[in-house]
Amino acid sequence: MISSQDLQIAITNSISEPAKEVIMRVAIAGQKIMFDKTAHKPLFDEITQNEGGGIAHLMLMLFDKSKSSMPKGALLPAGAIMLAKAFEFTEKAKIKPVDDTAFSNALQEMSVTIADRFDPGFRQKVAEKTGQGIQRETQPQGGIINQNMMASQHPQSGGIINGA
Amino acid sequence: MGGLINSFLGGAAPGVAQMGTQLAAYGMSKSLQEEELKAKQEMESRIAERTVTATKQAQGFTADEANKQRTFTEGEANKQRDFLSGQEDQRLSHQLKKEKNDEVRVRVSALQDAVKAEQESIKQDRFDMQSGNYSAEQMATVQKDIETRAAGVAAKVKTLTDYANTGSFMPVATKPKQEGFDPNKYTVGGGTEKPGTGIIGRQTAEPARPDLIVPPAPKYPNTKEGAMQAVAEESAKDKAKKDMEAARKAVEQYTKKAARGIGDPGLAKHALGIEEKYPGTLSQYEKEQAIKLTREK
Repeated sequence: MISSQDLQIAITNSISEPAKEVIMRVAIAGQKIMFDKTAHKPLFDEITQNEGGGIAHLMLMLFDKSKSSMPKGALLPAGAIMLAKAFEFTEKAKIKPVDDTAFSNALQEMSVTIADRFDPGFRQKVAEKTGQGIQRETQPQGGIINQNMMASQHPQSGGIINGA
Repeated sequence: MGGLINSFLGGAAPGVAQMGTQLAAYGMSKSLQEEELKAKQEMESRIAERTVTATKQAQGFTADEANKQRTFTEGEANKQRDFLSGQEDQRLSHQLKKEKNDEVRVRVSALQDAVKAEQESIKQDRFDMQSGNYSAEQMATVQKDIETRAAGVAAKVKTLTDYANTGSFMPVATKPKQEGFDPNKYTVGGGTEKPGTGIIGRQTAEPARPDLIVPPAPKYPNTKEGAMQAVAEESAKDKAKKDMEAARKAVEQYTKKAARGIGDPGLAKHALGIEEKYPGTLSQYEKEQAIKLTREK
């Protein structure tokens, strides 16, 4: 099983120092939310249901919270590090068995979800190119993160963040 | 509406919210390594919490299951034991009752047979004596033998009578000894119990005199006459029983007819005769009706 440390080193070694700092700050901010004493249990329980989608939604929520000032380019690498941390946690806390295949699938789901946010036809394009497509693992019909995503895509409908 | 993450970002963890809003500025005072270390520590804490919770849950589950299992097993064992014990008690009770009934039946039957056979034998011997089949010497012997056997019959009849009266072959229980009462002393006078002594009256220091103790007189003397008297009385009892049964039937017949409005003067007279012989056979109303019917005739 790939470790978050290895992934972090691999990512940061191939980019410039300023970009590395940006990615790390975003990843650390996400981890602080994900492992916060108060928010951790309900948040992570939801992430466990769909790791890729869950982390993608968390990253996009951070992006929205930064009033879109966060560099979009940091989302995918920081999300990958967070995803690795989430898998690491799942394995260490013995929540459920995980492996590299599950991580790979979750990473793909996360990438497509994030990309689809900025290019709404991205998922469709991928589906057409691959012939079989990548289906959403879960529909945004409930849950803390999905509600948040719906709120950010449809601000008039309210939601966790916008409703506050 | 508020939301978990929003409230978290806005209030529960202001440091993180600040980080979220200041991501563009990257102007945090603390170094990146420190932040990373803190995030890592948080993650480790959560892992520890989850592991402890999972372990506790597992232990709790196991303990709970073990308790349940133990309780169930103990309960089942108790139930089974109680059931078996109850069954065994019931079985023994039935067996004892059956054995007792069998024993009583056998004993009563044997006594009845013995009495009957002995009575027949005595009757035959008497007949032989009257027929002159014995010499004078033989007659005396036979007469003596008859007397002995008749006494035996009387004893057996008495046993049967006692059983019929008490429902038991056991001797009638004697009154338990009074505490503090010394049977070797005389008790003089009467009155209430002396407090705490259990003694009624006054006891003297003089020893009891056996010659003054008068045993209760036997119902039937242990003689030929006594035996014959016992047999006769028993026979009389049987006759009385038969008479009573016949009377009961006659009265029943009369009352049935009377209830249907049919007056049978003959039967009424008969019923009155029975009532006279065995008072209480007829009710007051029946008695009045019977008298009325007899007079009308």
